[in-house]
Amino acid sequence: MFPVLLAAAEAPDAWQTFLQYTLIGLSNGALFALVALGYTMVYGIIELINFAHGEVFMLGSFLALALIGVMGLEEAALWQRWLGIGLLFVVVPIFCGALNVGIDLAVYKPLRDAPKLAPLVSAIGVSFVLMNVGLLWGGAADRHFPDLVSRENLLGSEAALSFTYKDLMIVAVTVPIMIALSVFVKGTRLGKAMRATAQDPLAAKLMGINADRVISVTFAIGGALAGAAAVIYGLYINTVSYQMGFTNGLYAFTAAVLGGIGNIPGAVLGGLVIGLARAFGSGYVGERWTSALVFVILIAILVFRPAGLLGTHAREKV
Amino acid sequence: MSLLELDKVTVRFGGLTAVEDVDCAVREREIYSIIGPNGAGKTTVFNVITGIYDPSSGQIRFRGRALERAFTWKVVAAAVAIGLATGLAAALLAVNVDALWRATIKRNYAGPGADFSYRAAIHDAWGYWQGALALEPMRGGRWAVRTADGRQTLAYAPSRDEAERTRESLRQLIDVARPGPIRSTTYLEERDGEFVIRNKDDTDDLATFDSAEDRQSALDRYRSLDRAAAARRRNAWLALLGGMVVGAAGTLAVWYRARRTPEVISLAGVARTFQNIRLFQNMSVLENVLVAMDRRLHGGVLRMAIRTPGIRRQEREARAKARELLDFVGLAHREQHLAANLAYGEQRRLEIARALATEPQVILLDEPAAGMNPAESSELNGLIEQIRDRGLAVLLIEHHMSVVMGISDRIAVLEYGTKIAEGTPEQVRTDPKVIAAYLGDEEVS
Repeated sequence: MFPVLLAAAEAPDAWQTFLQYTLIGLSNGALFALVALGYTMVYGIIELINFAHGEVFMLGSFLALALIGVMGLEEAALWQRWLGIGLLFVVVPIFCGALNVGIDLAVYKPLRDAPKLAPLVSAIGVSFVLMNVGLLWGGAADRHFPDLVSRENLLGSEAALSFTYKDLMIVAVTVPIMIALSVFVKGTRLGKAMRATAQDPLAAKLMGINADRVISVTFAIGGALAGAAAVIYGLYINTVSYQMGFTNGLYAFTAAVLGGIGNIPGAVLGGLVIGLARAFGSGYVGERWTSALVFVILIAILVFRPAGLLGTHAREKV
Repeated sequence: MSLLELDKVTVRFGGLTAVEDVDCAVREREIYSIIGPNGAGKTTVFNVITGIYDPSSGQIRFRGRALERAFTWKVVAAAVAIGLATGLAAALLAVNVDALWRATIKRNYAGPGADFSYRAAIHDAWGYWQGALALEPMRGGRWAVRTADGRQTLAYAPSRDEAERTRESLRQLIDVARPGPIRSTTYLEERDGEFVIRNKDDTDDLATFDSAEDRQSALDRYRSLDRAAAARRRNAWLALLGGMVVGAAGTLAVWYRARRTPEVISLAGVARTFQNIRLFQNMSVLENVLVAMDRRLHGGVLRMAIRTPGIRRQEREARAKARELLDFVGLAHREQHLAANLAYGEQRRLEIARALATEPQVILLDEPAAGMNPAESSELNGLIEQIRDRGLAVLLIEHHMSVVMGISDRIAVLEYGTKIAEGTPEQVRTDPKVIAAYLGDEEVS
């Protein structure tokens, strides 16, 4: 589960509590959004729900944990620590991106022309395989992830509202990534090819677009985003386990569906909605009700907007 | 020489024959039209040319050669690599991957945090392959001597040292029991009513038995252990070989099936538009054209990411060319609009611009005048002629006879998937078979 950190000062007024929950919800939501983007981008391009995505995220956090051990970051000086964290944000996304591309080439690509269910079931299989790799790598117990980023409140230790270095880290990493992603998809040649392939794969191929490369790049980007999310998750939550891919993957997938699967801004919006729903749910209703609340919201939204918040109804192609 | 040539092309869907034995040859700088009643198979001809379907029989040649992906060293490399991977996977299954896991990893690895020696694992893997005996600790400090796969326990020993000694003598016993010309009998002795197995060097007793039958059954047991290991090795080799063949052949088969794809054909210089417009609706007019140029541009992902000057110049040129094409079809003023927001006729012209952006030598237009008013369609005539004047061949499907008769150099008429006539507009117009096809037999007879 995704424990929501409630660090609000004692007995604040209702307005401050609300703000605090919003802040927590937004930062957690940004994290969901990063993972959700991987689901939605892959779905957008090959209409596959890549169930293994959550597991890629999980293995990324294990790699981050291993790298922290190798680099000895826990005992390192502050500047070395920041340098090391910076390095994590480079190495882990590259690893996750490569892993995701590898999975696509080995498992999904041979099934590209098969009925949609074949790659879907394979994705579930890959998910189990990777989960067991995680079990072997990290063991069955929860692993402690070193608390490298300070919990010091940026608004001053007396402030009623809490916004820590950790929250800052989430914002400082996710916002630029999302901006870069939207610039990439909107402005670059590869991004255009990607959108074209997503809209009409056949027409794109007939215009000479190398669909295989576009798909590989999509998997690479999706994996890299999951890798970045994995590092943030570890540094923020400080506990990783081989099962975290499944639970967080489920929430991220829900976020993608909520926003309209296949729609990139939709995934971000969906992630934020789920983050907020979880924060308000655990704050106002009770921790144990958050999951129920999230899925009730999902159902309610899908009843009125079946294609998701920003999704459009897919026209039947003739 | 003809540019695009269809040679007895047949397309069947199950029992239905959509196109049968169609021959046609489009020459360079020619406007060649295909007409025929609805359901005559015209669009199927386009789909088979552009690689959406494969012909059930017959040949399609472009500049004298089939439009197929070239067989390169990459295909061979992929087949070899996938063959090796499949072979290894099959061999792993054949040697019993679970037992191998137990022999190599589980015996050497106590769990998270424990030491793990890769050398020991590799050594044990080799031992497993050889059919060596393994030692496993038991509760209470005792040790068991087991077969490498852990399935059979041969002996127990109170300590590790003792177990090592037991294993060594068992190893020798198996060695002696191995069938061969001399060994099976030379080292068996009968002494004072005891039945002995001597070691190979004849220096020591390995085991003694009360009866010849006991000794024989023990020998048989050791022999069967040896045989099992040999059989495992043989199966592994067979599986490796079989897996490699299947993997490589499968890769080649998949490649063979996919060697004629729309993408390959587009790159070779055949472009098309669609009867029901298939623009990238959520992209701007300019982007639609730029996307189609993508494959003609160069540069890896990395160079694109850092935007080297070369890439930037290339993109600038692409943009200029895209604008030129939009100007050519009369959409220059619309370049920033979303494709979905264009009027119907404009969308059709954008599709033509997009097709031209792939730098084709022949362009296939599928009912470009559909839904156009007379003014628009006569404008379209001019556009098609201009396309021809750019040096392209045009293959046209059209229902508007004013378009077809006005601009075509030659016309082919399809009915029920077969070509019933071919010739200049004048010849086709007066062909009785064509008139029959369009107006019905009764009217003619």
